[in-house]
Amino acid sequence: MSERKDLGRAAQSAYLVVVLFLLIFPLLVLIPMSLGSSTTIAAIPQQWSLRWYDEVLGSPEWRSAFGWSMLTATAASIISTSMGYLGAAAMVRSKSRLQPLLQILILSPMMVPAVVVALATYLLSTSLGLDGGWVAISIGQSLLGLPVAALVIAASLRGIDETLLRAAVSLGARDRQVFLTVVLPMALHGILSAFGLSFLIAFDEVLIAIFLTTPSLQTLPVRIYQAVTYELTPAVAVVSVLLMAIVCAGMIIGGLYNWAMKRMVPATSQS
Amino acid sequence: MSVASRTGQPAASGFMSQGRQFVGLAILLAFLSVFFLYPLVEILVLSVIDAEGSLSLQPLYKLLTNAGIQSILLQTAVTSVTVAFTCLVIAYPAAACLARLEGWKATLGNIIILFPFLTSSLVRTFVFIVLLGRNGMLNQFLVSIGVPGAPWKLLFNQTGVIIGMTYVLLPYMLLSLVGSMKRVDARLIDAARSLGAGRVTIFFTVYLPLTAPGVAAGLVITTILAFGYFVTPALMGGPAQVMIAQLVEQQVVIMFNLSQAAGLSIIMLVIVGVAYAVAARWLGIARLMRAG
Repeated sequence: MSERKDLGRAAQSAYLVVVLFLLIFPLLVLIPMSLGSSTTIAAIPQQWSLRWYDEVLGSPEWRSAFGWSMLTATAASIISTSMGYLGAAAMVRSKSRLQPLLQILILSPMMVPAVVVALATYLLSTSLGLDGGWVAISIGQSLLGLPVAALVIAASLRGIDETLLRAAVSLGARDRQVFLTVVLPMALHGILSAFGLSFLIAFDEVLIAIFLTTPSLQTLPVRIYQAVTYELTPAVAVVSVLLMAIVCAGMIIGGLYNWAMKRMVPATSQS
Repeated sequence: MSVASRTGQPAASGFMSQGRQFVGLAILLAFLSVFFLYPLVEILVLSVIDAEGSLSLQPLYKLLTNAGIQSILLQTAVTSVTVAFTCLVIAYPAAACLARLEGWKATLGNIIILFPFLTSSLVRTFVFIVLLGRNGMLNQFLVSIGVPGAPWKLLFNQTGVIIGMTYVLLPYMLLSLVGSMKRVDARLIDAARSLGAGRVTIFFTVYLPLTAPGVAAGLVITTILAFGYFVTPALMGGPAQVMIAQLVEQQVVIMFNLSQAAGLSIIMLVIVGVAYAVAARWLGIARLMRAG
């Protein structure tokens, strides 16, 4: 019986390893793919070179696309995070009967299909006269990140023990002091995660950017989309590797931050 | 709130004073109304104005009775349900194992799931276009081990779309399942075993029912995400795999037919809205959101 059980467990573990491998392997293949020298993409190039890194990093088109994406995604994630904080505070503390309605409203940009949000942003930008501007793209992208930001910040606000707030108030702290010295430091992890996640969502967003793109305003995903459709050169692999490096850096920073917080802050306040 | 009432201090309540909380909420509501709800109303209005400029349901009716659009809607529905169930079948055993892991193994497993989850969906679709091509890595491998019929056609057809979307959406399913599996109380399994239940009985009478909410939430999330998906079907599908989001995109970018795009958006909104309403009734909105 137990032998059979062990066998079953082993088979399951092996299966998990296979699934995880299949998840990560295609992304790892991008690295050799980006190191070829010919114009056709091969998983294992015949000749290794950094040619395409030179081309991408030296290309004004890719550089401007990256710049536009940094701009729209930064603006979008600032909006998402601040609006998400307001939403989270309302979701966590409100005892109103309208609370479920509020929650649905805050989360609705995530439930509405992205293409509908994109069309909405397109109409908005024409009726506000922002036609094709990066501001409209940022606003649309911030909508997509807002629900995620609100959820992540709400989770961190829920983790704050109300006794601490009460203690601060009873010791004479004003509202602003309670916020700056108690709430903000304890919710900082959530706020930074919300910022990071909404940045990635905005940075990866295609449809809003496609609807509002102009020849002089192309975000990175629009550029990648066009390159995959019309060119399919190792340049796309190079950009992919650079994007993965950003994600990797973000995950490492997040991990280190967590680790550092766990060492600095005693376990009691981490409940 | 409670702080103010218990300590007798004015103002301070939770994270902001009542007044400030109200102002914050007002700012948020104004933001959502102007930038989200108002344009949604605009879409609704656009979708119900006919060629003469008068209000009517005729344009929506025309869209719904159009054979081409019906077949695209059917294609979208079939693809998204197929992708969701494929994700479930692949993810369930893996998630059950992942939920049991502890320590560095659990961390490593989570990192491997989160990494593709956070990586651009364009990047993930692009790599599959290269891998699944006629001379791609997979076909080269299949040919080299002598699989009959290889190289297979895996791109620009339904198979390609299903493979690509399953890969892109698999992390959502895994995360949703692992969440519900972690909450299963191991003592219940032990109790069932000590009462003489076999492995199969335990799975069907204890484990599966306890993890059913995660399964349902995962299916709902992946189906709805797949239903509105654009990138993967647009890049990996052929002309017969056009999905509804692509149709909207074509109407905006190529045809400049905003009222048709608006009509299609309203149809999508209604379908997704019904799906969410049913799921929320069945699962509770909080659980659905946590899984997403």
